[in-house]
Amino acid sequence: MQNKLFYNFLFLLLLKHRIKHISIFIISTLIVFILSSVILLSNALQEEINTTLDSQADFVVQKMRAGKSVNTPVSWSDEFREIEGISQAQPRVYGQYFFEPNAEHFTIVGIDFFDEQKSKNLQKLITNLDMKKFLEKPNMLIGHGVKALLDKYYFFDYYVFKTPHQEKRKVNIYQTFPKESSLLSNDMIIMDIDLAREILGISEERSTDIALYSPNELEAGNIYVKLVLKHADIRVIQKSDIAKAYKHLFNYKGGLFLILYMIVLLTFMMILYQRYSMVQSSDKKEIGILRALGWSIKDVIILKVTESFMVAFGAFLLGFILAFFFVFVLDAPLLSNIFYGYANLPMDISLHRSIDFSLVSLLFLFYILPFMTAVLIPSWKASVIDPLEAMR
Amino acid sequence: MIQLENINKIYNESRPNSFQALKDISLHVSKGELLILKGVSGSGKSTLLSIMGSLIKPSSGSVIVDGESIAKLPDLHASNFRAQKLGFIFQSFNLFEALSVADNVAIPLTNQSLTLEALHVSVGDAMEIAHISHKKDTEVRLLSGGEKQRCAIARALVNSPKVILCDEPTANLDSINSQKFIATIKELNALGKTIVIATHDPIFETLDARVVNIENGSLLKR
Repeated sequence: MQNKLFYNFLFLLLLKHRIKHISIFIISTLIVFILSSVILLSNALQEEINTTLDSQADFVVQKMRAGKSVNTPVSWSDEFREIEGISQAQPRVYGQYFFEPNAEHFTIVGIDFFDEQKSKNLQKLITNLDMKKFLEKPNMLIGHGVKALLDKYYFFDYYVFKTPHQEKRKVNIYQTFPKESSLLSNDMIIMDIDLAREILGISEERSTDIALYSPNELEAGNIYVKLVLKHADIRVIQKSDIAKAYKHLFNYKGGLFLILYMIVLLTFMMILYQRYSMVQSSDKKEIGILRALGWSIKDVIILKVTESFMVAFGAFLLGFILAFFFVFVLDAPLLSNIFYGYANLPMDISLHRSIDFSLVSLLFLFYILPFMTAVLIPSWKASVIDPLEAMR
Repeated sequence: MIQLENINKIYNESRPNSFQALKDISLHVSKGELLILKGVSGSGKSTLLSIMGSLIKPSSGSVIVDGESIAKLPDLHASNFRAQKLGFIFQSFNLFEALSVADNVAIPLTNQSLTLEALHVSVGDAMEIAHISHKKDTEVRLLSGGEKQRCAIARALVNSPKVILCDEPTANLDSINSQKFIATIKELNALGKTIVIATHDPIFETLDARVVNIENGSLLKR
């Protein structure tokens, strides 16, 4: 353990060598900032997706025709309710609506507001809704992305939809969902199920698909088989399939970033090695002076490593704080576009703050180890040579 | 105080470019003695001084300083030995240019177990003896050559060493500052310090000191 005088001297050196350390500090901060931003963003998104998946139906059933999903008969839901292990079968009405002025798509979701909403996400979105007032007139709840687009075309209070029969249907904007829910609701329009049927051209006997809920996960395999055997033209999507699809999407992006991490880390190590391996003559001289004045090799290495650790740790801390601010306060502009992707409208999301400390620790380890190695080796090399030679 | 017996030093031993810098040197320096090691550049005087200061190890022979055999000391012990018993004054001062005089003088004590107060006292005393107290907060890079030398002297004194080793101490000084340095050396010698100066500067001939000539790595007998 070094004493107070040692640390006084260390801080003095750090202060005096600030010009020497500044380039490494800036590069390190930038690298940590980028890597931390990616980690924080992907982690927050993963959390969002997990939450979304939690509220998904256990099975989604669609009718197929020529390999394409078509509207599903509502009567199927009664058949499915008969299957042991299924607690609820809910025909769902939703579909894409083409917004001509901007050539974009919205997702219209029709809800029977008098039914119990099994989807936790939908429950969350319609909490605190004054149902009576909402259903008095043709009203809709819209996502943040939809609102931005409608505002752009001066539809501040309503929008006039066109039904498949070319009839016009004016629907008032009742409320916009909070930005925090944008991952789920960005391109979404929620309205009464009958109104949605009218706009999407889905008859009362049909639904887009049927959501099935099963309280017992262990029964999933059996239920799947029973469902598939019910109809020849049926497609059954399990919750695990949806999870897999999300995972594949993120694994591919994660893999892409893993390669980037490695390239960045390699470059970083090369810069560090170049920076510190060519211990400048002034550094070498300093080490020689210290050795001549009674500092042991161990003392010198502790000094140099601690000095660099302070720089590295400072850069890590600053980089991480900046990344936190960038992701959770500024909503990760630019970077978010790479990660989110979108089917209909561009995403504009406020992420929930969540940090995976094990990932941050791993990043710290992978960052600090090459840093320390790049300092330790040249400092040791300079320490073991004859102090007089080092001072020359 | 210093006893060298049959010292040989070969650089790059067992290599084609090996070079014998010191040849069978035996030398005794008494406690409180002032010794001038005189010789031209490359004669081996700095190597001999480095061996006395345990900065390098001899290829063969024994070195005893203040009763301690230092020829084969491992690094940690050699460092402790230098920190406690030796003060160095180098040709080009070898100061930390960006640090103040007081910070430079304090360096030999910073890895010692001292309180901050004790350090301040030692640094203050050393600067007083070296007549550089008035510049204690000035960065070294802003000092004149003579002032830098005084700072180097203060640094050599801060650990109250028994032996002070000087390597070409006046090489970067003008004649006035060289004279001042000699005056300081006399004062230190009067305080009972054992001083060895490696130099080829004739100015030291004015000192009342034993002069040992060294040539091609061997001592010349007068």
